[in-house]
Amino acid sequence: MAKKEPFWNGVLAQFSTKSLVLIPIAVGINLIGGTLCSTLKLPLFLDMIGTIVIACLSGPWVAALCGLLTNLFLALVANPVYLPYALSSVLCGLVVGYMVKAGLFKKIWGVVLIWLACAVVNTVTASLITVFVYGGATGVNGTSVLTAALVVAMKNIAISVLSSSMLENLVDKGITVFIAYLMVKKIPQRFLSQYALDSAGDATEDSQEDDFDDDLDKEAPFDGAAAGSRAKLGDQESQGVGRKESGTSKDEA
Amino acid sequence: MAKLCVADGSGNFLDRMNPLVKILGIFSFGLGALIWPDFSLGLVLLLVLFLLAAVAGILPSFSKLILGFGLPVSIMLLFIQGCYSPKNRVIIASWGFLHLGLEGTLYAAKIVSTLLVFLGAFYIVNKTTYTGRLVAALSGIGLPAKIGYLVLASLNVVPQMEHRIKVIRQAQSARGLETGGGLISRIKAYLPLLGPVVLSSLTDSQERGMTLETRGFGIKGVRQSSYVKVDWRKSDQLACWLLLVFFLLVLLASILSRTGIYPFTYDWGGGR
Repeated sequence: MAKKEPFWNGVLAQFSTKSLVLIPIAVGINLIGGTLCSTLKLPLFLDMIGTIVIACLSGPWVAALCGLLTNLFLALVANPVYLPYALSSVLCGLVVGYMVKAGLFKKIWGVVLIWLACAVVNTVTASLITVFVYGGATGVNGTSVLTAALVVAMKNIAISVLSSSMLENLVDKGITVFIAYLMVKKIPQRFLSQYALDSAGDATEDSQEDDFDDDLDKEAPFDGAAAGSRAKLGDQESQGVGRKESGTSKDEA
Repeated sequence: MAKLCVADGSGNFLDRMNPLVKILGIFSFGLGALIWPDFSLGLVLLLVLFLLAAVAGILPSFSKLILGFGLPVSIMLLFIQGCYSPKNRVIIASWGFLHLGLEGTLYAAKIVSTLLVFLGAFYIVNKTTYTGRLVAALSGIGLPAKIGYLVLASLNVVPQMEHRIKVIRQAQSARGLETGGGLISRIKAYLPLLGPVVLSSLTDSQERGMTLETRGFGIKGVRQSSYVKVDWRKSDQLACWLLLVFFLLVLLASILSRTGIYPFTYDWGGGR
């Protein structure tokens, strides 16, 4: 999207109304996971599932905004400690978004790569925040105990924070990316295609069936959806006016 | 979120205060505690925050947050920084293999006090501010309407999704899926829940997008009006000035004592 335009226009183009209404949903998914782990004091976060899903649907910058909002609301709802970690959420959203854009979400090894990249980015930023903002421990979950144990063993605060954070993030992002992958696989192709990000998931028999059902439901034949399911479906106006029109115009073309 | 705040500007003075002034308050207090050379100002500000919480009528939950967060983090940091900080020179106590250093302890106290001031101020503002007013006040000074929508919609979405989860879970258990029991069976029940919740939320968002578009959400160059009106009173002006003057005084005092011209703080012996 927006290859020849200036960078900023491409970023703005991601923020269509369709993407904007997705953000609250993704933030909701994040918050449910995040508050679950926060109230159970699990040494996990699980507050990036929605961010990864939206990175597959709408692009990196929308995912970044989603990460920012997620941490803002985690701070409001669960514990204000989470606010500074917005930085790591934003960076993760960007990294995952661009990796998905590069087509890595289609293959298993790509997903593993995304998991590792996400874990590394999160480890580095989150431990920098933990060391410089909180002095080494936040006390919100079990990781702080692990950090303390490592400090005793290694006598170095930064390295202990980094290693405990790395362990935690590897597990946490693994679960997160796995769940997000399952979710994106479940989303029908017809739904994915309207976000015009041509790299998320590949067509499976499942989605073919879905398109077939959809065609049966409509009175007017709508070949556009099956033929150009990946193609960007015009502006929002043409969507709002009616699918019938956009379908016929495609037939003429 | 479970208890929706109903501070619509009719209660005590904290409820009536302009949200922007309260945000300024968070930063004025928090940054003040941050730049002050030691932890004393943080403790004073914490006392002020306790008073404010008592005025706002949220003292029990406020003290619960401060103690529930403050105690574990103090112990952790006292242990990590106090015993293992590389800055430690003066040993003030030692038990066996643990040597409590003065510098690390002071550093931990500084961090904890600053954090608690930030957290406490944030919590009080959060509890005394109706989000609609906050967003209305922010759009008044130029926040884009789209961001305002995002903030409000995200707040609404979580209760909606919780409701949806409840409905789907009931439907699934009516069909014989075991949803209770031990941890393992609960996790097992959690997985088939995710798909329907997420997919129905996504279709919902699609409809919402179309609805917003037909109501002219994406129109550019038009000033939208808001149902929620936030006015800027004289008391807000006064509070704004007070907070700014307070912050500037703290800044001045910390610069003076850090450069050693006039030390406002007691010298604890540990170098910074």
